[in-house]
Amino acid sequence: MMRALLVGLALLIGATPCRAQDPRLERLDAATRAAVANVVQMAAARSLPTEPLVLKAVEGASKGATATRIVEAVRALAGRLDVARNALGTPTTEAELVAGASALYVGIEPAALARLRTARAGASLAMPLVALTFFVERGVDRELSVRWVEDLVRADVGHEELLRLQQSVDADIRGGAAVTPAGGARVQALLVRHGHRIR
Amino acid sequence: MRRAPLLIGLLVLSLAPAAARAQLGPVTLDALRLRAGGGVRVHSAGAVASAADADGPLAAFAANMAWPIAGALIGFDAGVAWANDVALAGVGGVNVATAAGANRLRFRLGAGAAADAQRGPAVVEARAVVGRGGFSLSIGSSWLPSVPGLYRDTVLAVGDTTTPHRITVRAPQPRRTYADAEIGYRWRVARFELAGIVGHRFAADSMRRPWWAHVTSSVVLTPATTVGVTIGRDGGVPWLDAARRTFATLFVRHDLPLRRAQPPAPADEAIGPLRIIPGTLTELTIVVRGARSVELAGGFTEWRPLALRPVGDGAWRLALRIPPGVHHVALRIDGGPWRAPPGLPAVPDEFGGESGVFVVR
Repeated sequence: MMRALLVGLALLIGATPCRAQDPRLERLDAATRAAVANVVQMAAARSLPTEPLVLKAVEGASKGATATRIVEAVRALAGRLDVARNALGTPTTEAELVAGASALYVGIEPAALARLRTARAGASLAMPLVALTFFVERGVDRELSVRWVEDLVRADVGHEELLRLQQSVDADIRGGAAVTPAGGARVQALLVRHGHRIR
Repeated sequence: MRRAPLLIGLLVLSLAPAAARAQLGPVTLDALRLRAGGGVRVHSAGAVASAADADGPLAAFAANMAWPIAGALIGFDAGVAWANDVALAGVGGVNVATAAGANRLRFRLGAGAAADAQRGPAVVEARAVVGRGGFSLSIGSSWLPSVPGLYRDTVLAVGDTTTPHRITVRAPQPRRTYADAEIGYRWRVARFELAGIVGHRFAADSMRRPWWAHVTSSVVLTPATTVGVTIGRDGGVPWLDAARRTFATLFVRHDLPLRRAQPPAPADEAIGPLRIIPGTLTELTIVVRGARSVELAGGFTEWRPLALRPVGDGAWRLALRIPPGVHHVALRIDGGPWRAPPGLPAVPDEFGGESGVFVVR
């Protein structure tokens, strides 16, 4: 009886992985793993990329997020990936979908993503969408942020320049500048360098 | 022989508070939580042999804690159980869990004792478990010391009435050793899990039948709550004089997250920007003065923390292959909270913090 009891306890306490699931999900406890795997399976059935969902789950695990938070984040991300795909159209890369989902997370409307897609056909929107998220997260008005990034996409500003733009704005903010004037000035300078100007 | 009555009692309540989290190869042993479960077991159609009238434990509590040390998770467990007719029995042990490749390894050295010495006072156990995927193989051995005069042997006797009654005969308990082997498999699809265990006892004494089997079916109701049922036949516990029986257990389990106290991180002024130097191996360098450890994690590490190496003057460095693309990364100093590395644009991570973003061409 005691052995059965201890076996029962081990079943309750322990957790073993399942071959059918992504092995990286073994880093989650059994309950969380099951819930995340369910979301991943549903996303796969909708032809959504599952890699960002798995990475989001293990990111949450590494950052010590609660099981509930991890599952909510993965479920919400799956929903935003779906919305981003519809807004950005096809073909869309996984990086663009992830960046689009981040933009949606900070309150950007799906219509704004579609606007960016039409701003310059064929251009990768991954880093522009990261920049858009950055501006909104730092406190720039959403519509103004979308306009800035739309101009930057039209001007064919490269990924590394967009990255440096964000670093520069961050440095300006740390130096005491307000985010909107600093961002506007930096965006204007970048557009001028590319032969465009801010609208 | 007699037919045992239907017994219903609280069977399982496990508490597993812990304060550690360890990443062991592909296996994460995440103990940062309080896990509690309760259940009801129904014993049915159990045959009680003349020498083993104990009905076995009806209630139990267990707890374990563990810490990551030198690439393994080392901890202890302790538990108590009550039989319906006596004894408070205690068990405890030291556990070492680690991983080798995709294999999970766990070793336990434990001991048990019963408050009721009539049941045989002590046992020492050792167990090794190897797991891979859904499979697990467990080999264990138990040693019961020889204790003269403390062994109870109960027999049914018919006296001068027609009603049989039990009498107890004391006899020296001989030194006994037995070995158990178990094979288990778990199959999990979405929210459902089916687990089975088959065990065999070697060198069992004549009172015990040397096999047992359980099947557990469970479903995850919420990310933190699981319910299930276990049915099977247990193998009895020689050191508690508990005979094997058919049983069914209904259980519910709940995980309660715990928060670790975070050590204070170095002041922001002591942290320089993260510098990323491209190459065959991408070199990540950051100055963090006064830090004892600096770690980075990102999508390119599958969010496994990687320790940076101190290279002098407060600088920490890591070189690794990072594929081209847009990457998210987070920084942790002295085991503190994850944060976006300074010098990189930050975006929300959906867990209440931020991750930095960089590009590798």
